[in-house]
Parts: sequence; structure tokens; C-alpha cells
Amino acid sequence: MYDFLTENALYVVLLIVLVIWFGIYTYLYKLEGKLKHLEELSKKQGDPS
Amino acid sequence: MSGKIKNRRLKQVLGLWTTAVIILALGLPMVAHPSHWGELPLIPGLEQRARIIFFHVPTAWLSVIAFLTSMWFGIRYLRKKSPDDDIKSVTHAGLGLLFCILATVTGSIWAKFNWGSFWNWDPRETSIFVLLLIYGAYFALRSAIDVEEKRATLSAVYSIIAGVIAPFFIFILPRITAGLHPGSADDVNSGPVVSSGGMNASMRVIFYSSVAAFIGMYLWMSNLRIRATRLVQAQELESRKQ
Repeated sequence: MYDFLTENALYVVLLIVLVIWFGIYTYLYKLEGKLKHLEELSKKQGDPS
Repeated sequence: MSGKIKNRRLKQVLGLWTTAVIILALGLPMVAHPSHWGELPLIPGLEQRARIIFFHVPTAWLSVIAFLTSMWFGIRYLRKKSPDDDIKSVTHAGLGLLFCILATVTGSIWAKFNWGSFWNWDPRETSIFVLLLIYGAYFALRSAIDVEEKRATLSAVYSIIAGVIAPFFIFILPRITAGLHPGSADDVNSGPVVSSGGMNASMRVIFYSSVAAFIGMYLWMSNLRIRATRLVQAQELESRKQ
């Protein structure tokens, strides 16, 4: 296992960076959805008609 | 195409673009004499550690862009007194601080493997530390003032002064003083890697694609933050009326 990680260190780093990136992207994407929902809710409250 | 779908498409493109940049930046081999586009050059004195340039340099550049944008909205606030400009100014200052911290952390990890220690008080490290203090003080100033208009005016003035200083600390001071960082005045190995010709065409394409990806992320994050702050302020205004 140690040898595998040493020989493929760059690919391990690549995998970790990709996991972090997907995490950030998913978080922002979900945040965007929630924000849009709140904006629509706020618009409805401000304009009852 | 409707605005909603177009917006979603843009974010999907940004996601794929950044994923491709990460794979190319870390996946392509670095060789002494690159013979085709799929090979990156080995930069003397940096070797494989040069890959940090795809992440560390864009974050440092972006922090300056964010600080200058914060200054721009600070000037606009002083001219028009619009609370929206204050929201934009503080949002960009916050993101500038975030990218500045990212540049410091990535640089510090790189320094451990290149110079043997996480922190060496190199002119580049010292200047970014001072920049972190300046923008830390900006948020301390904001949190110390309760009156909204006074807070916005004072922080707008502060953001202008800090915005003028920021490029000096990132681009000028570390280049005119002797130090460990590539591009210092006494650097005989690699020079400023981006402008010295140490990168081949492939490396340049990946580097500027990475800068574009970071700018896309920055615009998206600032948009989210500004919209969230507007919602909070509208909610506060509503509760004050009731």
C-alpha cells in the first residue's frame, strides 16, 4: 500500500483535489437552489397579488 | 434560451471546465524536453512542485482583483451613497480575504516541500501576511461600528486605501527584494515563472484556463453572497416595520 501511494502520489493528489472540487461545486449548486427558492418566497410575500 | 436554463448551463460549463483544468494540471507528465502538447516542461529549481502554479498564482491574482473591485464599489458608495454598493464592496473584500488565505495556505504547504519549513518570513510571505492583517482589520472595523451609514462610509474609505496598497504587496515589493520565492530580485533559477518564458504553450493554456476557472468561481460566489446579503437586509427591514 505504501509503495503504491509513493509511486502514484500525483494521482492520489489528483483524486483528493477532484473530491474537494466536487464537494465545493455541489455545495455552491445547492446553495444557489436554496437562495432562488428564498428569493421567490420573498417576492411572493412582498407582492400578495 | 430562457435565463434560468442559460444560467444553469453556465454553471455546468464552469464545473466541467474546472474539472478538465484539474485533470490536465495534475495529470500531464513533466519532462525535461517536452516534444508534444501533452507534456509540460520541468522548470529548474521547481520540478514537479511547479504544478502549484495552476492553483496558487490564480488565487493570489484573484485576491488583488477582489480587493480592487471592493475599492471600486467603495468609491461608488462614497459618490452615490447606495447601500447596495456597500454590500458589493464588503462581499468582494471578503472574497479577496478568502482567496488571500487560500494563496497563503497553498504557498505555505509548497514552502514546506521546497524550502523545508512552512513559514520562512520570506518577503513574499511577509507581504501577504501584512495584506491579511490589513483586510482582517477591515472586518474588525466593520464589526466595531453599529450605525449602518457610518460603517459603510468608513469601510468605503478604508477599502480605497487598502485597495491602493494591495497590488504593491503582491506584485511589487516581493519582486524588488531578495528572497526565496521564485521571481525575487536575486532569483537565478526560475525567475517569475509566468512572465519569464519558463512555461511552454500547453502549460500556458492550462494556467490561463485555471485563471478563467477561478474567475468564474469568484463571480459565482460573489453573486451568491450579494443576493444572500440583500435577502437578509430585506428581512431585517421587514421585521423593523412590524
